[in-house]
Amino acid sequence: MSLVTLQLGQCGNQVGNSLFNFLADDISRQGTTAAEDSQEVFFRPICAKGPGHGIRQQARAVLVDMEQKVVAAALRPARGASWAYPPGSSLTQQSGSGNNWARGYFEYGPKHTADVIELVRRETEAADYLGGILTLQSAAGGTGSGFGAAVMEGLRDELPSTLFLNHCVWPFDSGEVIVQSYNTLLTLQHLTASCDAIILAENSALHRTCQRMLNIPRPSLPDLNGVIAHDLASVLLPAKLRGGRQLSLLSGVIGALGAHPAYRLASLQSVPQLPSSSVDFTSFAWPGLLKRLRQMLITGAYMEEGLDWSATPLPNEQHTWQRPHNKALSALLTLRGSQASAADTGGFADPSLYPSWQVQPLSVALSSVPFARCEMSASLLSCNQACARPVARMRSRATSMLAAKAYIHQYEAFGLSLQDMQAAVNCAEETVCRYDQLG
Amino acid sequence: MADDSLSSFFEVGDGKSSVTSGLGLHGGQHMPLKARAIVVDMEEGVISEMLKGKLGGLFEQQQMLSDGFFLLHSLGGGTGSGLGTYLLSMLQDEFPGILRFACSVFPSDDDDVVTSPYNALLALQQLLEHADCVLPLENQALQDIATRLEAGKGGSAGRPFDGMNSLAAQLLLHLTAPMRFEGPLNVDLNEITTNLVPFPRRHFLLSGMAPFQPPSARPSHPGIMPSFDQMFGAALSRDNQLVRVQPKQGMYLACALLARGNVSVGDLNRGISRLLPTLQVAPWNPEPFKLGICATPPAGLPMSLLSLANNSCVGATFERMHERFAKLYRRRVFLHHYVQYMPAEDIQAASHAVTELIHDYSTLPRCYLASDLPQPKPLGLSFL
Repeated sequence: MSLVTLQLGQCGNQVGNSLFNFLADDISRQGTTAAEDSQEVFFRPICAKGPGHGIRQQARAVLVDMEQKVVAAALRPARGASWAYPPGSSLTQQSGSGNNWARGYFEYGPKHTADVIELVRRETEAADYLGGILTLQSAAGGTGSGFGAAVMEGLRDELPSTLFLNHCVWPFDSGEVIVQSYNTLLTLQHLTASCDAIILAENSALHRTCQRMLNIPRPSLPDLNGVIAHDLASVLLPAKLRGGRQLSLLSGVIGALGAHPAYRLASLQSVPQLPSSSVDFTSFAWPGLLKRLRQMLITGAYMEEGLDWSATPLPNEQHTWQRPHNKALSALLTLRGSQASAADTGGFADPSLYPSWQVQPLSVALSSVPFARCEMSASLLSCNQACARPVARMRSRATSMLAAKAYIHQYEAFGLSLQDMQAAVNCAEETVCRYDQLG
Repeated sequence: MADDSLSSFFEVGDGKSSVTSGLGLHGGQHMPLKARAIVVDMEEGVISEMLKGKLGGLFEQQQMLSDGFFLLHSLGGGTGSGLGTYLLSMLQDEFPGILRFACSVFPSDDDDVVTSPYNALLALQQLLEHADCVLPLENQALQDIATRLEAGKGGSAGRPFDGMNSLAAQLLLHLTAPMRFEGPLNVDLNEITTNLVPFPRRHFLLSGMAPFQPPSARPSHPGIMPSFDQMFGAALSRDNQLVRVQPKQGMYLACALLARGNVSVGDLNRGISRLLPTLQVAPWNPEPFKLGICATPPAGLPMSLLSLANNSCVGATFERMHERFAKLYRRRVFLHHYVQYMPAEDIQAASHAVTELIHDYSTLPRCYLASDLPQPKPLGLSFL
């Protein structure tokens, strides 16, 4: 079972690089059998050429950016790295998309989508059994978001039955990019139509996690990417479903999310987040970890610090004036570490966490292999109401910008009309409403 | 790697040329470099001096074109303002998809060219129509900063324009740094236009920098380095703007903060959150900031920050320009020199265009008040 990763744009390539570094490091600590299984998912073993050549595996990845610098940096393996990207699996151009979604989608889309599909095809054919395609990108930029949307549509046509999991980095509220509200809503509109599930990771939440949990006072973007890599790996590394069946990527993961076409957005939370220096001095216990993770779900928090412990789930039938808790449509709970199979996950089976019509909301995946040097760790991939919160904020920002018709000429120059933009805003509005109605 | 970043601005020659430059170190061996620049003037003096100078070897007689044009010119004279802006319109016809940046030196009030008000106004109209983005520089502002720098350094014996030109060069070096070096958050030139030009005619960006380097400072004498927060405040302060305006009294439509050196996104966000309450921003864009970080600092400094702002206060600069023009035009002074080459109506039209631009800028703060915006009603799912 293998997973092909498609890294789009500056952000996608940086996140992908962090992810493979993290995986290579984590796999190197696993026992032989487990390591072989994990390697098969993300890497292709290669024979070492010549003495002293440390590269033992190639990442199953395709790198795409409309400018060269980031991809060029990723292609140079770090000193002492045990993995590298396969040669010839990247596409770069001379000049970027300039934060303009319309430029990425309408100018670069028609020109280069076929080339990217070809690169992905080669990479998928190199896998014995393709589990699905993971795409990494940001929502705010031009290349990852605009060109990415075009590529995803092309791939969807080309590979109609393959599963696509998209990991989308959501920008800081005080923007890195001023036109980010337009770009993110356009991205979302197109991705919800072409991907099976979209994990949104908010930069601001990642930033806070780095500061509070990982003791990094001035987090840099690589630090943030490290958190993403940790989260993604925690759910994508091999695990068995409770009952003994292997959790098959990505059908198992996306199946566990319910894959309801109206609810594509998902969030990913994991515990514990620890600075690597304090892992050795931490004691782990399943009840504590799971209790914190459950409260994170109920409050829709990304971070286990500063949780609101007063929030409690109310039974579905009971209507009160108390503010309703964050409800989930479905959840995949992954436990890794010693005695994972013995952990009590009853707290997540509570029907009041989910809408009353949901029949089988919870899937539990287990692995006895320790993860990220922690004796025990848990992660929760869920489709819950909090996923739509950033979309709601972005929508109101886009609406007021649209009313002033600001920046519209930049998009019109590449063929995106005012109506198209309005449609994207409406689509976001619908998404927000749907998630609201889960409660 | 050196080849990659160098090639954005220089072309590596074939080694046959006799002139070599110290910049072209390549495996210990000197490679001849050619700047990707087109040098235009209608008289020989300046260019021949440039070609004779230390860096003369960088310029070649004939050059290849690449993506993106930078026009460096002044608005006061004849060649830079007239031919320069004519070139812009030609470039627009020939290469419509390629970005045209203009770095334009605006004449000061006491300019030594008597006809500069005419030249500047006519050129401004061309910039309005044919450039994608204009970075105005005002001689007076450059002069003030250069004097301040030299005073701090204890006098200098350079040529009069050296200090001022060095400031403009620092601006351009900073602006193009992300194209030349790697960074965690690269900002291309085309990202700047996308983010900073919300309305097509309002593409004049106020630039401010901190810290400035004195023209002849050696990397070994960096001077006193301010803290990040001091640098942040300075880059947006009135004293460090390359145009004489009051940025805090104007409205920020959009602002790019481009940092070089060891700066994190958190640092920039902290600076923004401290400064934001003191700024007026457009109601439809409450946090109008675009961030960029280039890991390589300028030579001799640990870090620096460039702010490019689309601020309504540049309207005041155009107003001053138009006033000086109107003073001459009212009496038709010197007009006959121009009528020889162009119809008088065109001058009138330019005056109109600029008045309109000034009007655009002055009405901006009142244009889009939050209460005027239609508040969207939630659609809900009732229509399904």
